[in-house]
Amino acid sequence: MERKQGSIRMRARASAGVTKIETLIEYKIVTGMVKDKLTGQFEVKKPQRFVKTITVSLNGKQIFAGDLSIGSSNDPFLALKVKGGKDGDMVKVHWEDNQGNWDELTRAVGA
Amino acid sequence: MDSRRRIVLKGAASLGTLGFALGAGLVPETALAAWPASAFRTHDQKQAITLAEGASAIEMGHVTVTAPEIAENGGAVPVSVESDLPGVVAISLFAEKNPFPLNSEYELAEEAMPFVATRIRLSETQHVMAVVKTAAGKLYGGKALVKVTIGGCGG
Repeated sequence: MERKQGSIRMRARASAGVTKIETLIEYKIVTGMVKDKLTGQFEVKKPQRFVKTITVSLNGKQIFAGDLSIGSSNDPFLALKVKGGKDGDMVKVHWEDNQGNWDELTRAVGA
Repeated sequence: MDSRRRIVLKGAASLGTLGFALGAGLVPETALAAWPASAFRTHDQKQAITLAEGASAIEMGHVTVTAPEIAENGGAVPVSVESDLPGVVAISLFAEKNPFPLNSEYELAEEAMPFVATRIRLSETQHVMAVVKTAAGKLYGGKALVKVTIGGCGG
């Protein structure tokens, strides 16, 4: 359970009445899955490590929440669009993994 | 766990899911969290949809899934979902042939437009399906076929 400071990359741009927010979390997922040599099926054999939740707020109001799984790529990426928004509005991204590790980043639109 | 995380109360549907989890003895480390463990842990896409959405009747249409026709690396397949429906409150992604079909689900406040883009793992060639839920509780679906050269499940 610790803060993984500096794990979040984020960019928010306002254009034509829409703000697009793109974020990437530097994170190595462990699916814990191993292919069974006999059946050819993937089974969970080892402890997993994955980003479980991600939330995005705009000017202090939560506008987006994601429940994720081991099915995300490494360095999970997310893009979303918000109606309105302008340069200087504050976007906050927060994530937490299945082990309680977390990080968050706040940055202005257009910064 | 950030208790403010949930934007929309799922009401009866999520109570049903929790009831299932408790009933099945799956009471996980996440029993009090909103992360829908039972939906994420089933191997069956139909069951995953029912658990995640609280319903299984999906009308195909109004949902566009954009993904590459051929993905050389199944470990990071870019997928985006867009809908022309008003009042979209949730978007979920399913990969029917992955060991665990429910990939992710997203809840949208009114300010958020009905759009999400992400990168997912695909174990093999399959359809990626997106299910969109409207404020009225109706489900709409869209899918895209992705041919996977190297699967993304190990690791």
